[in-house]
Amino acid sequence: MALLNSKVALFIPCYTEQFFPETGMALVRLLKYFSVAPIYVSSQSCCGQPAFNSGQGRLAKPLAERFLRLFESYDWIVAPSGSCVSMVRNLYGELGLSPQALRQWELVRDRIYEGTQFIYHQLGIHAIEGRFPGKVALHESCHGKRELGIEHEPRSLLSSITDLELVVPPDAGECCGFGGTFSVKFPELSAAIGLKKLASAISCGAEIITAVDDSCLMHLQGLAQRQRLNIRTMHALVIMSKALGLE
Amino acid sequence: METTTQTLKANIRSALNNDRLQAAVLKATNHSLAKRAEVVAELPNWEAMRSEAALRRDRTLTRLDDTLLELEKNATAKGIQVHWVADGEEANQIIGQICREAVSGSETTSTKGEVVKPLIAKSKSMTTEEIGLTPFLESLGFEVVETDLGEYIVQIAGQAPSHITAPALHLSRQDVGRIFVEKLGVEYREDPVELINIARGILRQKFLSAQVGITGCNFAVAETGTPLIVENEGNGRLVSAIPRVQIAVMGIEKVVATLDDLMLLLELLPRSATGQRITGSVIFFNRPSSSRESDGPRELHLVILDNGRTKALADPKLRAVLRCIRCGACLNACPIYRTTGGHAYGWTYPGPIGAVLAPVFLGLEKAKDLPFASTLCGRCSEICPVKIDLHHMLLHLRQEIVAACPQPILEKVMWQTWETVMDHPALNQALAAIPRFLLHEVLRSHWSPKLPLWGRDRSSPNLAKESFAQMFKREFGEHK
Ligand code: SF4
Repeated sequence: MALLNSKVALFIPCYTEQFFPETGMALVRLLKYFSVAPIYVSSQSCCGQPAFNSGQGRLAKPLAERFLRLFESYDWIVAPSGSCVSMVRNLYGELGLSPQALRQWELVRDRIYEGTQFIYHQLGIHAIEGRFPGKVALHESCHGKRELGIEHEPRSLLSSITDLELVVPPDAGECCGFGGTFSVKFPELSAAIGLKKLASAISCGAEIITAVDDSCLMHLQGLAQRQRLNIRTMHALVIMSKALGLE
Repeated sequence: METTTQTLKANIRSALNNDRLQAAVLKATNHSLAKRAEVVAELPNWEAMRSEAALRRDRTLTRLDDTLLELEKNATAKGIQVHWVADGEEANQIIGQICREAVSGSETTSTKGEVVKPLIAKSKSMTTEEIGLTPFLESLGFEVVETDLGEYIVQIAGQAPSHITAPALHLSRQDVGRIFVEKLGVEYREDPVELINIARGILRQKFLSAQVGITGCNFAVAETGTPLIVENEGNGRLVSAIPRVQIAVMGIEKVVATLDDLMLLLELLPRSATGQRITGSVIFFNRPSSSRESDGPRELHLVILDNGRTKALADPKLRAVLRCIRCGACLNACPIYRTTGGHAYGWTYPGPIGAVLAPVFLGLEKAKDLPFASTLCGRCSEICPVKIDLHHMLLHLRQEIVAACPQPILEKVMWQTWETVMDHPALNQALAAIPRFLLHEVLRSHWSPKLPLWGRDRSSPNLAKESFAQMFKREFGEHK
């Protein structure tokens, strides 16, 4: 495999680190299963997105520069989140980075990948030969879909799994209503949008709703729990890792 | 309309409490999106057309001054009277003056001896909403009637348009039926055709007696000196044909350099706005009519308005917002607009385009919440026919607002602390040494239903028993 000798680093988003470590572990297990030994740089923290999205670009800048320093020397950087990857790839240029950081960014932005995209394009894996029974609705997380162009990767990978019935609701490409700080500033509105999303997945008969971002799923799961809806959330990477029995 | 951008949260709450409104908005926006998707799919080169349109709009914007002067020169040469106005106040004054002169000397009492207010007929125009023209003219003693059906409905209901191309989008036909009963004293009906006929009957009378016609202006072609509007109901045609004096009001960005540019935009606008290949009519106001012609205005005025637009023009990060052709597609696609409707935004222009324009037109302080009322999902930028990067403009405006407007002290401290922790691995690790059940309790207490950082409708996530770092170390030992 061409990637055998390359250095692959993990980027674990701050909320995954604290709330959804299983998603990070699923990514590690999948990479190992496909013969890639990822490196975890433990001094990593946040990509800066929460601050930038809240208008605190001034505070996002040092975090971005730190991120670039830490990851500059890796061949690939893989993260279980489309949103953070999009921040690094598409928005770091807006932060007024130092000239040195800008040079690092030119390298890093092409090397950072969301998990399913990395598995699909860089590892060339287009099907998961495993089994996961259940009806799963796809939520196409906004930043993954519109900023990174993720579309067929999770679809192909998930639908190749035996006994997994992937449904794509008509509003699959619409926002779940999370929106980072938006969900704190406008909680009722955020919830109202999310409930529409869940209702549509449920009406497709799905038991699980999946995405490539735990941020969307954290919000949807909170709604489903509080409203006692009959649907669970699970990150696409977790489903893939479970399907392969990697636990 | 009265600006209520400062009570955004309350506006949103009241929309969320109104099920009828939400149902009407969702139904109407879904309908528009579906129709749009159908006609867009017919054009395999749609994406190339969007790029081309963006390019041409930008080209005009980079030489906006010259293009506007060319428009003025060519329009004036044909007898159109051009007026440059800096803001809404000046626009209203000039338009008021033109109207006064237009009616001076004409009869002001009816046969029964009552005073009859001179009548002005208007066709749909967001620009005149923006400057508050109607209430101003009413204060001068004119009767102003909206002749676009949707505008007419919101006018008699005492409301403002809630959408830039479909003013009464927030109302169901039952709502309209009830408004007609209350305001026009007719019997309750909810059949759209019957409702339209009632309104037509009333409006026809108005057209015939209107002394001034006021229209907006979808575009104005510089090379020919021609303002124009696109419309479906035929009212714009009457407004620009019957009264002796016509006034068209345009923002400076409505100018297009050539007929060629116009043709491209006319492909994009109706498809994006109403899902039509082309509108019922495209009406060119080419020149005032001559004494030998039986219809058309003898006097044709073109009012060219800045009102904050040059501020956007001067800002390289926001300049592209002036590409906007006011199609309303970004409203239909926006998860916020689709949930709250347009009135919640609290000023003339709702939706993503409105959230970008508000801080520019009203000032950062007055509109400081609007750019934050977005999930930054990017549907607006994706659907915009002239490829305005709306959601990234919102993100940019957030930075400007935080830099310029006083922030709650608590928020400031919280962000600064967060940054310090995130930027210092040692601190981060020290925190990681705190037993997680304790952290969990601290978080819980802040996310309890009594102190709902995340609102009442949603459970907060549970802190995992082990962080990723701890899990990784336990399972694989190695770390870097
Ligand atoms: S910003 Fe784009 S989509 Fe929105 S109204 Fe303007 S042209 Fe239409």
